[in-house]
Amino acid sequence: MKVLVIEDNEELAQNITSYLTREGYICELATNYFQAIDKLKSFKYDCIALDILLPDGNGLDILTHIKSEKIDSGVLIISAKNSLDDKVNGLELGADDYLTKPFHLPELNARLKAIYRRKYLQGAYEIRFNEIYIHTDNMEVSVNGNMLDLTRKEYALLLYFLTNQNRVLTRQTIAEHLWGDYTDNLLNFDFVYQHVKNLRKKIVQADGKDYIETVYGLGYKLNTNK
Amino acid sequence: MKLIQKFTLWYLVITFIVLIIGGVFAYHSIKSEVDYEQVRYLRKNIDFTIRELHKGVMPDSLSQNRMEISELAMSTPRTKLVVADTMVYTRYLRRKEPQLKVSISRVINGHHYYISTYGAIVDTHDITNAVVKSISTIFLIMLVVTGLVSILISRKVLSPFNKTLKAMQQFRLQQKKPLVLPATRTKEFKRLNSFLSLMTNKALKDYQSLKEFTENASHEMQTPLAIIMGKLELLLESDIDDEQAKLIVSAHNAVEKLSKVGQSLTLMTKLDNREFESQEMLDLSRVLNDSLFAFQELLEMKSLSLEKEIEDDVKVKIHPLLVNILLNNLIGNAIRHNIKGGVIFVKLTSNILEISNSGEPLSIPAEKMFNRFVKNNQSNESVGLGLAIVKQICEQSNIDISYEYTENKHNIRLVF
Repeated sequence: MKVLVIEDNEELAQNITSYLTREGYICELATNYFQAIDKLKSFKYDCIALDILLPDGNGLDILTHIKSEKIDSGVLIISAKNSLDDKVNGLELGADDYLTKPFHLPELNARLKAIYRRKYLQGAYEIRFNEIYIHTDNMEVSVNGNMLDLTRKEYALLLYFLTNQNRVLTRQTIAEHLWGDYTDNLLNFDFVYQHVKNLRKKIVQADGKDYIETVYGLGYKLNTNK
Repeated sequence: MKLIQKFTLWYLVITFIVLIIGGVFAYHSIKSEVDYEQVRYLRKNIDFTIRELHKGVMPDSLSQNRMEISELAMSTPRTKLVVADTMVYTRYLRRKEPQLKVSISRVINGHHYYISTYGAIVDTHDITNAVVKSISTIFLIMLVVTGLVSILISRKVLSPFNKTLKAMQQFRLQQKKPLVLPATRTKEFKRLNSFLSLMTNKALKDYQSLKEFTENASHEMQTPLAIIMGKLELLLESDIDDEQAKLIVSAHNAVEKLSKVGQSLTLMTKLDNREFESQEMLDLSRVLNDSLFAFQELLEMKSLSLEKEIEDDVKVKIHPLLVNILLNNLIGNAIRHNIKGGVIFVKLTSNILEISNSGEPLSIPAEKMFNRFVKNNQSNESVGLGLAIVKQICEQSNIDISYEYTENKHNIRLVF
C-alpha cells in the first residue's frame, strides 16, 4: 500500500512514517499544502493521511482538490481539532474516516487498512493468516475450517491483532479501539483482559495456534513466529 | 424603602422643623407689631387725658372704664411712661386676660396725677391659634403636593435608573452580548451607565479570553501529546527489557490521561460556548436502549444485572452528540463504580430518567460530585470530569439533575 502523509509537524510525521514503513507500506511525506498538491499531481496513492491545519493552507482544501481532480485515494483526516464541524465537513467532502490527535499508531494503521479494504476490495475481503481465515463482508471467522463463534468485540479485537502483527498493543490502545472515545471513564483494563482471554480460548479450542501472547507489564502481541 | 420615599420623608421632616421655627418667629413678630399698635393707641388716650387735664377738666369726669386717674403727693417721685403686662379680669370672658398697661405720672396745674390705662386689641391666644392653623394648613398642602410630585417625578427622573437596573439583571456573561443601557441626561446616571458598560465589557472580554485560552491550550496540547504517544509506541517495539517496558507503559498511560483531560476541557469549553444547540426532538427511548445494548458485554463481564423500565417514544430536545456523551458517562459510571454482582436500574418515563446502581458509599457530599476533578476515590484512574460534563450538558439542555446516595444505592435523576 502506498500512503501519502500530509502533516506539518515533522516529529509526528516521522512517527507515522516509521510505523507505517515497518508495516511494509511505501510512505511519502508532504509537510505543507503546496508540497501535498504537488505530490498529488505527480503520483498516485492508495491512502492519504491528511492533517487539517497546515501552515500554508487548509487540509479541507486539499480534500476539495482530491475530489475535483477525481483522485481515487482513500482519505483519513487527522486533526487536533476535535470539532464536530470539521468532522462533518471532512466526511461530506469525501474523506473516508476521521482520527483525532493524539492517536495511537496501531489505531492509525488499523483505520488506514480498513479504508483500503473498503475502497479497493469493496469490503468483500478475505484475510488469511496461517490457519485463521476471516471474511470481512459477513464477519465470519474460521480456524482450520472450524467456524468460530465470536462476539462483535472479539471479532474487532482479532482483526486489530491481525492488522498490527508482531506489534505490542497496550491494553489502553486496545480498549480505545474497542470502545472509542467517550467510554474512557470505563476503562478498567479487566475488560480487555477478559476479551483477549476469551478470544485466545476460542482460537485454541478450534485447534488454532495461540498466536496472541501476553507481553508482561505492557499488553499483548500477535506473534507470527509461533 | 424606595429612594424617593426616603427623599420625601426627609424633605417633610425638614419642612416640619422649619415650619415650627417659622411659626414661633411669625407669632413673635405679629405679637410685637400688635403690641406696638396697642401701646400707641393707649398713649394717644393718655395724651388726650393729659390735654384735657391741662384745660382744667376735672379728673373724676375723665376717669372711665379703662382710664384711671389718681392724685399723688407732690413728694412722690415722678415716673416716665411705663409699659407693662398685667392680668385683668374681663367680665365678658369671665377670666383674667393678659393685657397691656401703660402708666405715667405728671404734674398738671400744680397737681401730681398718676394716669394709667390698659387694654388689648388682639388676644395672644388668637394669634397662637391663627399661626398654628395657617402653618398646619401649609404643611398639609406641602404633604399632598410633595407626595404627588414625588411619585410623578420619580417615574420620570428615575426611569433611566430603573432601566439600567433591569438591563443589569438580565445581563449574562455566557450570552456574550454587550450591555445596552438607555441614554440619559442626568449626570449621575450617565456616570453609572458608563461605569457599568466599561465593567461589563471588561468582564466579557476577560471571559472570552479565558475561554480562548482553555480552548487553545487544550488544542495546542494535542499535537505534542500525539508525538510523545507515537514515540513511546515506537519505543515499545524496540529491543527493551521488562523494566524499561514498564516505564514506557507508565509514561504512555500518563500521556493518555493528559490527552483525555485536554479533550474533556475542550468539550466543556464548547458546551460553554453553546456550540451544540439543537431544536430537534430526539427519541430518548431509542437512544437509551441502544446505549444499554452497547454496554451489554461490559455488564456481563462484571456480572451486573440490569433492570430497565423504559417507556416508548419519550422525546427530549437535546443535541444527539450530547445525549450520547451524557448516557455513556452515566451508564459508564453506574458500571464502573458498581460492586461485583451488583445491580443497575434504569427507568425512563415521559419526563424523568432515573439511573441507580449499587456501590460503595460516597466519601464526599453527593452535590460535590458534579464539581470538576472531584472523585469519590482519589487514587482512582479516572480524570474526574465525567459528572462535571454531565452537569453542564444538563444545564445547557434545561434538564434538572440530582444525585443522592440512599439505601446503598447511587441514584441519578434527570427531570426534563
